[in-house]
Amino acid sequence: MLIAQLALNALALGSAYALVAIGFVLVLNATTAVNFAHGESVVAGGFSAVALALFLPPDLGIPGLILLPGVLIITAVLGLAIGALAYLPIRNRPPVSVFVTTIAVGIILANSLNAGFGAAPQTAPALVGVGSFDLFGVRISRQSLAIIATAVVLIGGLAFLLQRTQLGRQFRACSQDPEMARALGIRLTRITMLAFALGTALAGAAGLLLAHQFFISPSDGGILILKAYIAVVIGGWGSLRGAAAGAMLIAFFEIGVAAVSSQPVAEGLLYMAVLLVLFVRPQGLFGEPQQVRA
Amino acid sequence: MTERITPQTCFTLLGGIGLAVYALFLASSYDQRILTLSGVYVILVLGYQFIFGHAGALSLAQGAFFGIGAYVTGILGSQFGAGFVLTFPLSIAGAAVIAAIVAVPVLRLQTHYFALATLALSQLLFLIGVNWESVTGGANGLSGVPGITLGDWRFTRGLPLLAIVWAIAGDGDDHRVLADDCAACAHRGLHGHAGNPAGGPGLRDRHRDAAPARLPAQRGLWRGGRGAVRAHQPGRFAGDAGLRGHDHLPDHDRGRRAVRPCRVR
Repeated sequence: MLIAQLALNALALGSAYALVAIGFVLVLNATTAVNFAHGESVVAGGFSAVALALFLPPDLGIPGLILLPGVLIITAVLGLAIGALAYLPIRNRPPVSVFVTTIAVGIILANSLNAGFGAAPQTAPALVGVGSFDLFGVRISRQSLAIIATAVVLIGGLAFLLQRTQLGRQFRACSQDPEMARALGIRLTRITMLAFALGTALAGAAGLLLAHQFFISPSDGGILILKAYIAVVIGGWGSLRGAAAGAMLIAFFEIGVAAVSSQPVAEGLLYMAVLLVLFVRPQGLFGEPQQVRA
Repeated sequence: MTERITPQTCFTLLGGIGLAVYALFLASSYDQRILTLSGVYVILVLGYQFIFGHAGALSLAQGAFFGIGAYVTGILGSQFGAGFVLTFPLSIAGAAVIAAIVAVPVLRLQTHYFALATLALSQLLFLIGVNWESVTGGANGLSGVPGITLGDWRFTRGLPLLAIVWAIAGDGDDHRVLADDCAACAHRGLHGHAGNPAGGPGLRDRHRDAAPARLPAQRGLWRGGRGAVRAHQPGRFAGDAGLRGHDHLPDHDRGRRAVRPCRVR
């Protein structure tokens, strides 16, 4: 039964990580560059939930889920700002420049949040209330279940957008061949900015999902971007499905190792495993679905 | 080295003289502290120039090597009372040795994998710094690290410390030529192995021209090994800066000598 509970926790953590990693890949595919401010975007999402929660009357017990649209909008705007400030001006430079500018944006974001909210970890309201219930003898936490459900809905919405709509088709066209897409009349800049908005909004949603159970503090961005990065490398650079799978793998590894030892040991082993994998397979675990572009 | 005098060098020179005059006669102790810190960062950046500027490899572990240097001095200084003469070379050696060990596998990686590996490495070292409390003092850090002394000279905080930090920073800058050579070597090694793995702008074009085209791939590989070790100057310099960073690590401005874990990216 303990195993089932751990699996549920891992699934919840993995869903949140998957949102982060998928957002990361969206921007990656649209720009061929790594958005290093992505971890701080997650943190910004968590803190916008904390800030928005101040407007909720505390005694009515309104579920935190109604903050989701607000968080999505705030972080989508943040994503547009990141794209406009850190990507568009240097889009014709080597991708490594975007690394540097987005690292700078991330530092600015983290320090602004630190100035605004303080360095202490904060918690956002639970999505649909706290506590747990029994199902076939397994204690199921409402929060974990709500995290999984929310992530499934968001990822499903994204999949629908990308696979079934004209906009999604344009989106994929731009990431497969930007030159050709442009020649066919697709507005590349608009699609790229949309990728920043969508990717950062997904990161923000993950921030809301993580901020209740796992707390959120301004300096968390570095760890979150690292996990998204690892997920993307495990799943294949540029693959959305792979990113989600990689995120799940990380979460199960973390929860599993932490269950028999401790959280720092789990993280340390994760990083060591990543280093080992990279040494054995320098081209990533499953290779790259697209040619090397970043 | 003879250089043409351009308006740019004039401005740099005037600015430098202005800052020196300011530091000597006008600066408050807080200003001196800031100027000392900027000297420490100059050393850190000079090291990063080797690996990112010249070899074009996006290393995200520079701050971690800075930290290794700081912890070597911090641990030896606070727990064993070791002085500057011992801790200075050991800090440099500590960072350089770890960088050299890590370099062998890491330099094979391509662009974003190189960045990820160095980021994972720095996070790993950060975790060790925070969690190995009996040695590193955990998140509270180490206090009681002795200041810099050379024989009878005590470089106390303020102008003396400022002077020695900038003297070392200036010394680092003199190694530019050496840096170019090392980077050319490292770059050739990187190229010999996997195209342009280090990514980014890579080496300046003159080095690309300088690399003989006839260099067989195998030889390129072998040179890569040597270049890898030499490219470890960044580690060395970071350790260097970390050392002097011992009472100047950012993140805490509490006026006590301490080494504490913090991220320097």
